Amino acid sequence: MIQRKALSPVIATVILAGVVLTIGGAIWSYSLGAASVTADNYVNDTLDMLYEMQERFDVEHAAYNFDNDTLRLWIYNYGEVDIMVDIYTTINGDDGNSSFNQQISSGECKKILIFFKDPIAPQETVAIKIYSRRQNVAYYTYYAQ
Amino acid sequence: MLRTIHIMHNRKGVSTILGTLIFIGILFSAVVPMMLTMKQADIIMEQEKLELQLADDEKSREDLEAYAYPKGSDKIELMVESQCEFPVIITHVWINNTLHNISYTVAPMDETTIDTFDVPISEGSNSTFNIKITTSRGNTYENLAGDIRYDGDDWMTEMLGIYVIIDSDGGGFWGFGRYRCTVTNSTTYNEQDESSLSSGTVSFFFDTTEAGAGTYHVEVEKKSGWFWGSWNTVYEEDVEITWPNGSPIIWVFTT
Repeated sequence: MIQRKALSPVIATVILAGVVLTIGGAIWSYSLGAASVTADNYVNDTLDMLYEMQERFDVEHAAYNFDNDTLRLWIYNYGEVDIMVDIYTTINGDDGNSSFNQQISSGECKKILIFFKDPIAPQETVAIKIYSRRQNVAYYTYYAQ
Repeated sequence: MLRTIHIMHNRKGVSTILGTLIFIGILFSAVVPMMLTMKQADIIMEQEKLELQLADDEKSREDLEAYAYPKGSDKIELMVESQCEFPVIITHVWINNTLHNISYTVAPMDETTIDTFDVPISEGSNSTFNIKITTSRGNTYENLAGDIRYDGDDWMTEMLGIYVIIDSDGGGFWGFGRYRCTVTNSTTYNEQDESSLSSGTVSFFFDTTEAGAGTYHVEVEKKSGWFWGSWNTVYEEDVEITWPNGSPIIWVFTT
């Protein structure tokens, strides 16, 4: 009787310890995963912001070919990261032609051709906007000659 | 002895101890590494921000003067004068719509010939060449003398001139004082210009397009007082504009 009397507190302790270990282990496991995901997301967001800041590009040169109504743009990516840009043109307030998904490597000066359905007259002004996929913008004004 | 036995037999705190151990485990195995990783990302971000700030600052301080002139009948030579205190890498040379990829480092405050470039010249035809250079920092500099033209027989430029740059240490009497620069040639050209004696760079430009190429006498004088004091010559030398066999712009540096 004396020996059996001590049995239930031992079982209770074991059960309580087991419950604590199970719940604690589950919380630990969840915390590890959550912390890892949170840290990864934070690092990825920081790197995205870093790449956005590192982008540097500009229109280095432009020339219009009146024979085939094509605007040639040389875009220089002098930043540290590769970029993808979309190019929009505006002529006398009207939307002109565009060029999308132009990949430019770091350090590359890429020639991009934009064909105009409505030819540009000499001395006409073309406003050029270049949007990168990381939300940076470069502007250029070209006087057709 | 009795107390030790009492503790060993007291099982009430086991789950609390386990809970505390688990909490500490979570803290050190999940939360602390997460915070360290975030902190590291922040440090990298701050470092990069600083580097980009420095790079942008260098870009704005970059200062080159480019001038091109004919070299023989169908070539153009390009010279560059650096006006900044750090090296500059020239990556592109534009001659009209033709891009030449190069990689040429110009030392600080150096004047150097970059290269000679072929240009398409056909006898008896008009050809105009717009020349510019681009640096690795994204700055573009046009030929200082403007477009170079070949009219079928001769080379022409929009401008011939003499740049006089004085590295002034200021001085003078309570800030008073002046520089006077005189450029003459043996025949028609005789121009004079004055500037206050401020510290830093004092510059004069003399447009000699009409007078043309030839030998010019450059004299720089300095006066430390206001209306009193006398002019002292600090530089006096002959320079020669050899266009079209040399640069259309001549630089004179003095202190």
